[in-house]
Amino acid sequence: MDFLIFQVPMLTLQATLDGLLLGILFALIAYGMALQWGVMNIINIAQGDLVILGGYIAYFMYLSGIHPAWGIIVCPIVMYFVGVGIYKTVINKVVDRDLFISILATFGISILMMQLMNFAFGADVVLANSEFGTTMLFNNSVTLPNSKIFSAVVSIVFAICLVLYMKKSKLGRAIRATAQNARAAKILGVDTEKVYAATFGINAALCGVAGALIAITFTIHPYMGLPYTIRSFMIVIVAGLGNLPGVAMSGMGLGVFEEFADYILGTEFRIGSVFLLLVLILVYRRFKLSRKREYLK
Amino acid sequence: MNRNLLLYGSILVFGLVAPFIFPAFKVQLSILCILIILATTWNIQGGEMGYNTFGNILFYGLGMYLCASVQVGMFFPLAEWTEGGGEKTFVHTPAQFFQGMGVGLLVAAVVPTIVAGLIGYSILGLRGHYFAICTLGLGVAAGEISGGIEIIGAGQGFTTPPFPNIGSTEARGEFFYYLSFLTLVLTFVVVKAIYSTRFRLVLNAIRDNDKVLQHLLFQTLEVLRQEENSFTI
Repeated sequence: MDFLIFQVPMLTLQATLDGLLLGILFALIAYGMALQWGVMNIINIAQGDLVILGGYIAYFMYLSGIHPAWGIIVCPIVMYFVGVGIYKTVINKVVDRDLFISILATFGISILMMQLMNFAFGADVVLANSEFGTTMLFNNSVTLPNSKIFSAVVSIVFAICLVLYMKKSKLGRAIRATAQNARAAKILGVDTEKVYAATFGINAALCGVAGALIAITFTIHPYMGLPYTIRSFMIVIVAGLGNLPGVAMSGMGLGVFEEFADYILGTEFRIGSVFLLLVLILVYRRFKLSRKREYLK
Repeated sequence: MNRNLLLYGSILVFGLVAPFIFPAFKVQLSILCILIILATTWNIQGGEMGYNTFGNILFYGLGMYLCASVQVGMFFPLAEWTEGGGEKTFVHTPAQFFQGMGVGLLVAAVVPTIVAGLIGYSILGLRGHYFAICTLGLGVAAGEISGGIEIIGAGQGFTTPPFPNIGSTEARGEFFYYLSFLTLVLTFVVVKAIYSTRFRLVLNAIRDNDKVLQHLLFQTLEVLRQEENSFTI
């Protein structure tokens, strides 16, 4: 391995730390996807676009003089209602329908959101500057923007709150019951329609938080959503549905992979390598299962 | 049958005279033909076989870049062409243009077919959600990766050779329209012929019950896509 990143330990450390912090953020988005996938059996292709929309809310707060970090409070609230709105208008018609219909519907929402955001906010790459400063480690050879540390901490806090909410609250119990067996839950008095709407709303709210954090830490652009969808999907299939520690671990693994791919292949191949990794993981699993005459489903 | 013949006949006649009835819309009409080709070929896999794919753009893009690269690379150094302003340095003669394009179209039909075979072997074992997202990943990965390859112009794109200065000013639009229309007609005839064979039944059987079909000793068939033509860059 004749790459600079492996020859300079500090560079390796830098990439690893960057990747881990980034991965925690990915895991938060993937957590939302896993929740919704588990409960509604829908893969939301618009997941990444919800993230970007959340990011734009934080960006507009920043433009109007409010510190974008407050976005972590405002974005989930606004995005919850956006999520419920999308559920009521489109998703409720495709739950329990053929898989292709739901993927196509969310793919359509994704394209629509992209175009609307492009129309409303313009095609510029923007960021909400948090002015959090930078932390220097190891004699100034490793630099970590505080905004990245902030996003990782906020992501962890939100994930923990959600886990507790799902375990302790009445709605959380209803959501878990619906995920296990929607029909039985309905017979036992759970309003599954409400549960689905709430689940989609919670997923959108998580995307909103993640979006605000991405606007602070990185950059946002109307067409940047799809890679976040693919990343979440990849994290969920590697971890398995309902495996929360697995989601966190594979999220961080993906973050580190991306940082190393960035150093080794170059920034222009960063996103491409993520998509290729997804294909490779799927192909690997398919061949592994085909030996037992089974398939991924 | 007669009614169908009448319908196809009238569409054919309309297709032939359309650029003269709507001379200002030749480009749109060409794109219309291309979109019909894409929809027809997508239907083989997505509709008849039940494997919903979001990644066919991979083959489309591959065809585009291959055709344009062959057309340029046959006569001039490709790297210099794709550098800023390179397309102004070199000029194709009409013979070079059409010769390059013919070979380019052939390469653009053959290579994506091989690629589709290889990819199909790897991923057609996936089902449902996984297959759909995997193909979506492939399509976007192809776009991202081609945006990073210098020799084909990377992010700034590839300027294709301009149409040679022959005939009237309308020649370019008419040429590309009739080429698209001819491809559409050929695609339609080929797909229709395929659908009249046992192959269609196999495709439908895969869609309806893959597992039972495998027990009946069919192998999951790989649908190779051949109509990834490239003249719409």
